[in-house]
Amino acid sequence: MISIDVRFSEKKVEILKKMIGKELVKYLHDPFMFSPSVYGIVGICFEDECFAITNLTEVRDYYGTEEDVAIFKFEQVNEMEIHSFIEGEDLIETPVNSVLKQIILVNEKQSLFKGNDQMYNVDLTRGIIFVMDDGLQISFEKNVWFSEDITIQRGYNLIETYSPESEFCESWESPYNGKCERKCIVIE
Amino acid sequence: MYSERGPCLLLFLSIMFKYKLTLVVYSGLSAKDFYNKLASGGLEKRVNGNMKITRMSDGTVITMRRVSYSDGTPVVDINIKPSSHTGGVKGQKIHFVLEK
Repeated sequence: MISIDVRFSEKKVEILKKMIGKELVKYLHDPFMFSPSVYGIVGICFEDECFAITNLTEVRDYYGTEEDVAIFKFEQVNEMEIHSFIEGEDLIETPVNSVLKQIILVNEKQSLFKGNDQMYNVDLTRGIIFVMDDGLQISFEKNVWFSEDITIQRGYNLIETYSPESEFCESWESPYNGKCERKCIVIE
Repeated sequence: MYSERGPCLLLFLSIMFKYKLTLVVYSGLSAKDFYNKLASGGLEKRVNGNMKITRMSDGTVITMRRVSYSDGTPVVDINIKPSSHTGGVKGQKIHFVLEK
């Protein structure tokens, strides 16, 4: 069995934890076109630190095939480093100006079986939900495995809007079958 | 199904017995033609010299890379996740490979 782990690391989780109680000033992304889904990058700016959530292609083992897989990452950056990956496009700023109360990391464990034999176990981070002190949630969700898009949502109980776990399971044909378990890790 | 005239022969082969990934045998032009037909009516943005991205009015996102990082073939991705009404259609990654 092959195990692959592309979740946000414990080090990244620790960095995220330090943002609790700080003011989330704004987030930056490409202008929306027809849906709240943007290409490749979202900038998150707190009162004194900025981060980039990226979802860009890398060549990885995708269940036995070398494929272009979008890898969801979270990095601390300078605000000047946050820019659109689309030629000639400028990012727009969406103000928040609220104190961060909690972070929900949405992780998934995807398993691939051939008959009863497990062939792959993949752990990944599907999304991140910032919960403000007034209860408002802002979510950044990674799209389907090959897409570099990030879906941005504002609202409440946003985990209910995430792509269903069954999406992975339905992608396999006999004798292969997939299982997906989602786990929300609350950081506060 | 999709077909082209002349020397261009387009066949759909479902060879990835594990995953519903479709490989398309192409002449060299059909990847671009396929993308252009699929993306018709959408709004296209150029990411770089290798990649274009088109957003359709229902939210579907279609991208084309002339050269994929994994195997160097042209590839068209169809991401229906942002779509407001997928009609049960699955997202697909389609590589275009040379006919042997």
